[in-house]
Amino acid sequence: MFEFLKDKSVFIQWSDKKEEFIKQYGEIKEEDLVAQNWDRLEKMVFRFIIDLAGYY
Amino acid sequence: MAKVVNPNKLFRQRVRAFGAMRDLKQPKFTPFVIPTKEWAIEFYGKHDLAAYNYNYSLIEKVLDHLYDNIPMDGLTPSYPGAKPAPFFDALGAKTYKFPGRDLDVNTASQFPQNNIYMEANEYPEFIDDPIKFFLDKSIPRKHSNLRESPRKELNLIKGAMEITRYRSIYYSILLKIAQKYGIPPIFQSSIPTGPLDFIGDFLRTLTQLFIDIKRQPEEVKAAADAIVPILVKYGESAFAKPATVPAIMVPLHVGMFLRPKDFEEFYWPSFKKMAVTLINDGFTPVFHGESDWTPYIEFLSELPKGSIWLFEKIDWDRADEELTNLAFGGTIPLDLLRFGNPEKVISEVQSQIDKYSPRGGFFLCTPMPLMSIADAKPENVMALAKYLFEKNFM
Repeated sequence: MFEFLKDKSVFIQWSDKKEEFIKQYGEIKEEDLVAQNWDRLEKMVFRFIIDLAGYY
Repeated sequence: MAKVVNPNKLFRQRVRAFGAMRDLKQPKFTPFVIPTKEWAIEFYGKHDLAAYNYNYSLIEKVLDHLYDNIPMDGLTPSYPGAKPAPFFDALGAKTYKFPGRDLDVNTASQFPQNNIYMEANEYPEFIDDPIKFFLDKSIPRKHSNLRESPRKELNLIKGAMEITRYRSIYYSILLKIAQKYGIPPIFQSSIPTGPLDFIGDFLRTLTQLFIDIKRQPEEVKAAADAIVPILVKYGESAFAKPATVPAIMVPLHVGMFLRPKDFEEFYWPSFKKMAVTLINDGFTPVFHGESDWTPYIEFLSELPKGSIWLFEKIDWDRADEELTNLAFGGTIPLDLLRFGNPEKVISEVQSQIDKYSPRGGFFLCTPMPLMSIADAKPENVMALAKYLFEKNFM
């Protein structure tokens, strides 16, 4: 059903706020402060799917 | 009020203490953390619980108030009661009952476990490709706005944008708090739960899972095995490279409902595989073992060194003697925080430090998060935190 989720580019196509999106996740990528280093969109898509399948 | 001097130095000291504790050495001080959920919101006391689910930035004042009054050595490992309700609304998810939407504005959000997202005859399909099963079956069943409709992609995008906004606000607040008070977010990463727990919590419900164990045992075992690499990848993908600190929090609760024989056959193999993989890959799992783990001490002793355990209940003296392979915490009695007074709380905690800190691999923590203000008198928690802070840093 959600085949398009497997294409990570969708997450940067759906919005004209790509830079803001990256920046937001970049902000939490502070060294040794917060573990969530989601600089790879592939990881983000994967994690989002598991979030939806799990507690979300 | 906690006097915070040189937060950068505090931060480094605390990270080192957690690292030493994890390595089963005796740190310079015994790390102290109390997970707080709605308790922190009630302790702040300015808004009803419902407000935090819709106005994310309010949580900054809650956390600032919490850590200003209760200095801890790690940021609380759980969201303090605030969940992004608009995200769930966008997806049509009924995962939680929310204050202000489904419940009274001051009733804590609830996770009702009564929805089946995988039928008993669908185990083979799940085992064959769990991710495909999530996308095609369980996620649309769970989120009504993601079922077949022309708007399902838009609804998903709306939800993704909202969760991005929530996390951006929440993590930027955590950063501010971490920097202001020098408190590292030791437990901020997570894996949803253990392998068999995942099948029970998010696909079958516990009741159905226990029936499945009797009726289709091999499929249950295969399903738990199938989810292991996904959970490991989920936990590890939060990091750019292997890191022992921060740790990866993993709540566990299904195993304790099983007979020891079933625990050994259905729970332990997939769980052990996940735990060993995380440890061998260079990460630190923190397992929150809900309920009583005393009957399973022998199993736990099989784990390689490198995990931290927060036990809700266990024979602490046996754990101290027999579990020399892992670090543990959870000894601060909730009853004492609830009904005792500051002197008794401090006396008890100091005796625990004297007794267990020489082992290395011991941290001070309550056996479970503080959910409601009735769980612990604020004056007891504040007095304990002040005592430990002055003892360790002043």
